[in-house]
Amino acid sequence: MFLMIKTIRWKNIALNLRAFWLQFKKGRMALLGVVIVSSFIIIGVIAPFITQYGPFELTNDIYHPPSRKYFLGTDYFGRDVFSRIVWGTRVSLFFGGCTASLSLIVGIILGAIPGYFGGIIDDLFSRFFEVFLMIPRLVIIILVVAIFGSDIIYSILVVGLTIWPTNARITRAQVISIKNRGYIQSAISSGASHFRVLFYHILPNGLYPVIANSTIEIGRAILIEASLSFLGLGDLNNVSWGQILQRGRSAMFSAPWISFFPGITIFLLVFGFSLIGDGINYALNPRLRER
Amino acid sequence: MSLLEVKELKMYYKLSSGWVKAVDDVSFKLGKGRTLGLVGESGCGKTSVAMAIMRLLPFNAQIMGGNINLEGTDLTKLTEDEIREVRWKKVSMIFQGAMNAFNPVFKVGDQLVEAILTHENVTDKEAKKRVINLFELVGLQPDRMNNYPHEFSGGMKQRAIIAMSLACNPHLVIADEPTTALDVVMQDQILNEINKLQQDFKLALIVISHDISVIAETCHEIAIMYGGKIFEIADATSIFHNPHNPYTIGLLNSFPTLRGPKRKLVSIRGSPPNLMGEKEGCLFEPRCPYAKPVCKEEVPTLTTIDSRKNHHSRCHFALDPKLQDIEFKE
Amino acid sequence: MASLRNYIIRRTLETIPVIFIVVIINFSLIHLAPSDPAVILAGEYADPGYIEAIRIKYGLNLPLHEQLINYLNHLLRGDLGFSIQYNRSVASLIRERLPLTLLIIVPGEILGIILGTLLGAYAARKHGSKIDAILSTTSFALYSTPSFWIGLMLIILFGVVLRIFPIGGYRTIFENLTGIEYVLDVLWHMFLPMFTIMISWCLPISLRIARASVMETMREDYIVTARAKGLKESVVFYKHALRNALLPTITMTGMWLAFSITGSILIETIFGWPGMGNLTRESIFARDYPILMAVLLMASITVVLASMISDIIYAYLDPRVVYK
Repeated sequence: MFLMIKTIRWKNIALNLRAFWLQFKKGRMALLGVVIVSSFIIIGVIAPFITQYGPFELTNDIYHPPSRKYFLGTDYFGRDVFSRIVWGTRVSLFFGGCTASLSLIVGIILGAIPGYFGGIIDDLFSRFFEVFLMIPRLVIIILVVAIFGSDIIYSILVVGLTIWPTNARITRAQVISIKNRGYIQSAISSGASHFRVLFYHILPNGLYPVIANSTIEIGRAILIEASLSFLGLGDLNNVSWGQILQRGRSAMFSAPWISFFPGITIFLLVFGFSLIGDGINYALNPRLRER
Repeated sequence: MSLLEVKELKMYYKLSSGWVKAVDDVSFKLGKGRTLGLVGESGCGKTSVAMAIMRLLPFNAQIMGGNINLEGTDLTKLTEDEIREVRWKKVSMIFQGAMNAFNPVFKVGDQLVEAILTHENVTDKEAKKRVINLFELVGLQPDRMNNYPHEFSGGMKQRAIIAMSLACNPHLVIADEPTTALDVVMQDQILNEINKLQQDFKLALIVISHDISVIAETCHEIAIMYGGKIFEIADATSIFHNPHNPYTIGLLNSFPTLRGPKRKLVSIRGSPPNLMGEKEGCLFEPRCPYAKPVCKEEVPTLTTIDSRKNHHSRCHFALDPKLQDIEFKE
Repeated sequence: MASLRNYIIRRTLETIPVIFIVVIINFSLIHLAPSDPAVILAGEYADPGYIEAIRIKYGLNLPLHEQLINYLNHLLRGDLGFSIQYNRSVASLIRERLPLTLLIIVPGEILGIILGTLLGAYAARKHGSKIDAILSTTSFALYSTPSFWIGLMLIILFGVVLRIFPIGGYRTIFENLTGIEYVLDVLWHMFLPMFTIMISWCLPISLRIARASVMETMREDYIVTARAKGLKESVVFYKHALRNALLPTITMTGMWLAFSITGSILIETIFGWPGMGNLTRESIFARDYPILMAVLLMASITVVLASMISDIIYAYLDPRVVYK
């Protein structure tokens, strides 16, 4: 009996995945998003090979406009903007990925529990979400970073631990709707433990909307990181796009290229992630697919 | 001349994968004060016919041929403005699943008033008075006018929808599954209500249902639909006591009767047909116990069984007496 | 309507514990920090004598629960602390700066929401068409772009290149303008920051929400009923559909008004706009914790109040809510 449920479960998941991918492929914007994000990932990985200068390497050409020697120009310290942006890709992706993953895990767990058990637990948790959602994120992050220091770990923790409510809400709704389906009922009646039912049966089928949201969240996290660095609260040991923008601000009129390009890259990467997330939602929700 | 005459109506939906022939060559006549029942499985096209008559088609649906003559006017040829005049004033509809038929943010009474004021030049006060009358007609408390839809029970909403459908004194009312969402007791009440109203107002009524017992209670004539086509059409007595189509016989066998000998209920094997693409032969062939080779090759046309009673059947073997003995096996 | 009154009362009462929790979180933050709370409150760069005075004033050597009561007392009396940096009470600083922040946030938000909703409804009406694709993609793109960068680019474009708008500040400093001229001068300075707030997130999000909501509403059964009744398409859309479709936007509005406080930090920095946002930023560098905590407190309370108000407005508009 367990074996049968197991095979049905895997077949179910595999079929769902395949159907999903076929639908996702159809969205041109979604594919564009994949292209953009992959490009950035590749750039981040091969960073040492495509940059001539290090992110903090000083040259003698201060405020040099974009040229053949310095692809996107240099800043006040003579640092090559292009190299800094390329190295900054790693920071952005790292921050976005870690934050969204943290939010995903916390959100799924804290959303699945009230969804599955319902009743008082559900009420309590929902209240908890509400309160959490009302905390103004940036201010708390600023406060925490100001008190505890600007190490990137703190920022990741704070951001990850404040954006999970959306994931929790989505998970909860999914669990509630899947809970009553036939194969779940049969798993429960055949003696599977709550843990098993939740994590082995319900969640694998209900994860898509949360994944979509998390993808979009990676983008949001990157924006937050840029804002933090821009305010001077970012990790000063690593170069990040927000940091470049901040330094570029003082030379806003004399050397606009310093501020211009990091903004473009932030936009592109966040846009890319948003497109993917939206594409996932689009593929999942048949009603949006009309016309 | 009949009130409503539908001739060879064809209505298709366009999907990215092709055309779905929701209504494929449907013809019938309906006189004033008479009730026509449209019966069939889900997806057989009955609601599509209704939507076509009201021209409430979604953007990807198109009337591909045929006429809908209401009191001499061909509804398929009217412009958007003209059809809006016809809607609700000449022909109105009682919707399937009245649960969501009312706008949740407006009071029920106001929504009926809106219907009246759209078509008639009366004052607000007069319209409200008429709504009170309508409510009383269907057995609703008039002061319920000021309630919102979510404060109505299912049965009450259904009655309100019926009241609304009569607001502009239409000549034709289409009731699409009027009792599907209700319990049996309420079903009975609502059906009686509809019957009474029809007699009082001499309405022409089309009742759409997949439940043959509902049809039996209310209809003078019955059209059995399958796969977008009419498979048999006749007066009610002939359909029940003298069917000449395998599908009709199958349908009758699958519904229990209160009187008559005890017999086993047999459902029709298989599933509804795919309405896309060109089909050679009869659409019912895969599920028909009487199917012969010709059924696979040729599309059957309507055979006249009795022209006086307007009894027609779409079957190659409609007049074959052995048809009456067919048995549907599980 | 009696039920609506009850709902308002109930909702207001529910808000009180939430505010209380927020205050407690605030309070805890000082004590969770690795450093000495007295140093935090006095400011990192204060001299030891002052730190000791702070310690006594706030009773930091007292047990925790007594400290909490003290803190609450101070709050209720309107004492939000004292800023070393500016040598003034935090409350007076806020009183001075808050109106300026509101001056750019409120119009920016309102315009953004109205325009965004109108465009979103329009895009929904024409969904699947080119204009819909353009509107959706543009709002997506705007929302993905950092607001401060948009602000920077706008300054460069309009302030430097085209020279239409000033590049910063809230008034022209060298001329002492009064009366109408003063007002116009401020408005002239106010435009770009307000515009940035509007297009960097208010408009895009409103557009997307309105569009999705309208599209969803148009699929409802009662829309078919409305058409069947012979109503004109415009009536169906504006009277029946929009009334329902706009409800989600209303819910969001309250929340955003509050979140804009955080957004203003970035925008005010760019434009040198001397409001709360700028104050917050300056306080970050000076590690002026009293100000930072007051800002957090105010921001949280604003969010809570805003969501309560928007809930109540929603309940007024949607008759289904009160009868839960």
